[in-house]
Amino acid sequence: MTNTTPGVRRASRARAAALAVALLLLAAAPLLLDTGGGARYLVRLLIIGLLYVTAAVAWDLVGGLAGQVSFGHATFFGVGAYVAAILVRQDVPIAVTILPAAAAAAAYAVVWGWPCLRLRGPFFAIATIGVGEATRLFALVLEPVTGGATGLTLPIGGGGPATPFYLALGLAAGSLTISFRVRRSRLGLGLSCVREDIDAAESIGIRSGWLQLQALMASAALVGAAGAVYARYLYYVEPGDVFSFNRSIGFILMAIIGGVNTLWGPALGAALFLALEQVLAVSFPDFHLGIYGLLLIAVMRYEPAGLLAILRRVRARRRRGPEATPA
Amino acid sequence: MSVVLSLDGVTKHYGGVRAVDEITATFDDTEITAIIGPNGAGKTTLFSLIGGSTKPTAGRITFRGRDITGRAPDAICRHGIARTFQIVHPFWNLTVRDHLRAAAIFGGHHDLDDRALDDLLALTDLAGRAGATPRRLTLAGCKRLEIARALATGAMLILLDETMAGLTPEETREAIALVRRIRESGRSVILIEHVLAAVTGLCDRALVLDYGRVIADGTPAAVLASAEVKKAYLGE
Amino acid sequence: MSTLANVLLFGVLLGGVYAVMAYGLGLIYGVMRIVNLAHGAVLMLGAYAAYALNAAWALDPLFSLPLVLPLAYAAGIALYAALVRHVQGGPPMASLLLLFGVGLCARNAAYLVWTGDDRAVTLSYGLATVDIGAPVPLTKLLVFTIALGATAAMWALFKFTHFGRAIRAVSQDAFAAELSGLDVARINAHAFGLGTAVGALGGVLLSDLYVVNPEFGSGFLLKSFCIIVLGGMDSMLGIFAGAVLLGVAETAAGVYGTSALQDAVSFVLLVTALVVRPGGLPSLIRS
Repeated sequence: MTNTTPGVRRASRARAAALAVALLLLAAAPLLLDTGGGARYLVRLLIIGLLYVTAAVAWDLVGGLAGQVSFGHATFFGVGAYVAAILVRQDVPIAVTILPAAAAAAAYAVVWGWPCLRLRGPFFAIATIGVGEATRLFALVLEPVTGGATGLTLPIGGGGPATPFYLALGLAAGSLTISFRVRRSRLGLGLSCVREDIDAAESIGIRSGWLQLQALMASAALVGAAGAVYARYLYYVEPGDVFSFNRSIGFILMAIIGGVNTLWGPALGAALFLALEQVLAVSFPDFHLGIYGLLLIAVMRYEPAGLLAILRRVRARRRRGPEATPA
Repeated sequence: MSVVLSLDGVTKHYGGVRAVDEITATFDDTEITAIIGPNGAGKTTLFSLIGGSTKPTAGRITFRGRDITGRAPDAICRHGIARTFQIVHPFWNLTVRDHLRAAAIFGGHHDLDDRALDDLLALTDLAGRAGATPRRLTLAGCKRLEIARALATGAMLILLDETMAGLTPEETREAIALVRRIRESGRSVILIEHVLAAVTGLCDRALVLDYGRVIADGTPAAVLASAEVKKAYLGE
Repeated sequence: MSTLANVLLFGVLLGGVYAVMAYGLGLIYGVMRIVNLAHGAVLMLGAYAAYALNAAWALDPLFSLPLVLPLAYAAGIALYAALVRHVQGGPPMASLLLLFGVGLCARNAAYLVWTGDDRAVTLSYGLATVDIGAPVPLTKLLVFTIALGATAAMWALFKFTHFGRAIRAVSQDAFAAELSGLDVARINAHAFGLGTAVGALGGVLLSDLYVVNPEFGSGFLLKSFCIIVLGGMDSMLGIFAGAVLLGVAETAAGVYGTSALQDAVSFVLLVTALVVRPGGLPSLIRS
C-alpha cells in the first residue's frame, strides 16, 4: 500500500511551490522596496494583497469550514486597526501591536459571537449584518477613543514599507498554516460535522457552539492582525474604511470566488479580488458593486465551488486528454 | 438486571397540547424495548426528550443513576446515549470513515483506530465503504451508517427511530439481525417502530403510547392482543 | 395629547408602513425558506420608481402603484425563473449570496441612473396636516390607510382565494403540497413575484415619508428582518404586531432619546429577538 496518494503528492508539491514563491518574494523585496516610483505601487499591491490573503483565508474558517456566512468580519479588521493605531500613537512599535490587536479582535468575537453563533445559517448572516452596522456606529460615536468620523492618524516614521511588508507576509503564511492545521485537526472534523448537520453533530457529542466560537476567535485574531498592519501601512484609520460593509463583502467575495471551504481557494480569490479592484478603480470606477454582484450571482448559479474547482476540472481534463482519444 | 434508563413523570406541553403526558417507566440493561403507537402519540417527542433536543416541561430522566433531565444533546451523548433519526441525517459531504471518527472523538473521547473502524463497518454491513460519502449509499446503507455512527460514540443506550421504515423485506431482516448484534455487544436498545414484524420478532418488551400516555406495557404478544391497544390504533 | 399618546399614535402610523415593508420578506421566507437579501433593493427600486414618475409627470406616488406593482410582480417572477429556482433546493448559502449579488447590482444601477444624491418626491399636499387630537401630516395618514388596505387585501388573499390557499399549503409542507397535485414550482414563482410586488409597494409608501438614495435599502432591510423575527416569520398578524412594536420603539427612541439611538433600536431589537426568542412574539404568546 502506497502512503502517498496523488492527492497527498499534489498537496506537498503545492506546498513546495508556495514556499518557493514566498522565498522569491522575500528575496525580491529588498530590491523592490529600495527603488522608487512604479515599484512603490507594486509594493503597495503586494502588501494589500498579502493582507487580503490573510483575511480571506481566515474568513473561510468561519464561512467555509464552519459553514456560517459572516457579513461582519470587517468588525475584526477595524478593531485590530484601531488598537494598533492607538498603541502606535503611544510610541509602541507596530510589531508589538500585532498581538494586542489580534487579542482584542478575538475578544470582540466572543462578545458578539457567543449570542449570534447559535443562530442557524441565514439568521446568523443577518445578525452579522446588524453587528457590522452597530460596530461602525459605535466607532463613530466613541469619539474620545476613536476620533469619531475623522478617525486617527498614526505618526509617520520608523522606516518605509519594509516592516509592513514582512509583517503582511508573515501573517499570510500564518493564516494559511493555521487553516491547513485546523482542517486536518479534530476541530476541523467537528466543524465539518456541524456545517453538514448541526443536530446530528450534537447527537454525537459535538459542542457545536464552542467549536464555532473557536473558529470565530481564530478567524478574528488573524483578521485583526491584518487590520493592525493595514493601519500602520496607511498611517490612518477611519470607520468608513476599516469598518465598512464593503470591506466585509470583499472578504466574502474573495473566499467565494476563489473556492469556499478550501485551503488555497480564498488565497486565489484574494489575488483575483486585488487585481479586480485595481482594474475597476482605473477603468470602471462606477461599476464596483455591479461587478461584485454579477460575480456572486455567476459563482452561486454556475460554480458554487469557485475558481479552484474550475481550475481543477481544466487540469484534470487536460491530463486525461492524450489517453482519452479512442483508437 | 440493572436499570439503565428511568423516566419519572416525564411531561412535555406545547401550548395546550400534551405531547408527552406523565410517562413513568424503567428500562433494563441489554433489553430491547419497542415503543409503538398511532401517529402523533408522542413517540418521537419522547426520544427528543431523552436525547436532549427538547426539554421536558416536568418530570425526571435518569440514566445509569445520573439525572440527565434537560441536559444538552451533546452532553447526553457523552453520558452514553445515542440516537438515530426518523429521516436520516448523515453528514452528506463527509466520508463514512469521518462519520465514525467524529463520533468516536467527540462522543467517546478517543480516536478510532483502524481495527475498531473495521469492526464497526463489519457489524453494520458497511465493510469496504469507509471512503464513500452518504450520497453513494442506498437508504438502507444510510440508516446503517447512522447506526454505526451512534455506536461509534461508545453509547450504551441506543435509540432507533423508525429504522425499518422504507426498507425492503430483505433489508428489514438484516436490520433485525443488526439490532440483535447490538444487544449482544452489551448495549440496550429502545426502538420506535411501526413495522410490527420487527416488534414481535425482535423485542423483549413493548410500550404502547397514545396521546402521550403509556396505555400498555408488556411482551409484544400480550400488548398487541390487548383490546385497549387495538382501540387506540383502529379507533372506535 | 400627552407625549406618550403621541408616541403611540405616530408609532402605530409608522408601524403600518413598516408592516407592508416586511410582508414581502416574510412571504418569500415562509413559502420557500429563502432569506431574500435583495429585499432592500426591492424597497429601494420601488421608492425610486415612485420618485421617477413623480419627477417626470408629477404623479403622486400613490397613483403610481397601478404601474409599479405589476412591473414588480413580473420582475419577481423573472428573477425567480432565471436565477432563484436554480439555487433553491441547495445549501442556504447559495440563495443568500445569489440574492445578495442581485441586490448589489441593483444598487449599482441606482447609482448610475440617479447618482448618490438624496431624492425626494414632491407632493402638493406635502405640508398639510390633519388634526386628530394632535396635528398629523396628511401623508402619514394616507400611507397608513393604504398600508391597512394592503394588509386586509393580503389577508383576504390568503384566506379566500385558491392561490392564497395554495401558497399556505406550500408554506406548511411543500412535499405534501406537491403530492396533492399542486404545481409547487409555479406557486413558488408567483409567491416570489407577489413578495417582490408587496416589497415595491412598501418602497413606494416609504418614498412618501423619507428621502431616497441608493443606500435606502440596507437600513430598511435590517428593519424588515427585525420585524420578521419579532413577528414569528409565518404569521401575518405577527408581522403586523412586530412592525407596530418597532414603529413605537423607534418613535419613542426619537422622542425620549437621540436620533442615533433611533438607528440602533432596530438592531438591538433584532439581535435580542434572535437570541432570546427566535420564535418571535407568537412563541411568547403560545407558551
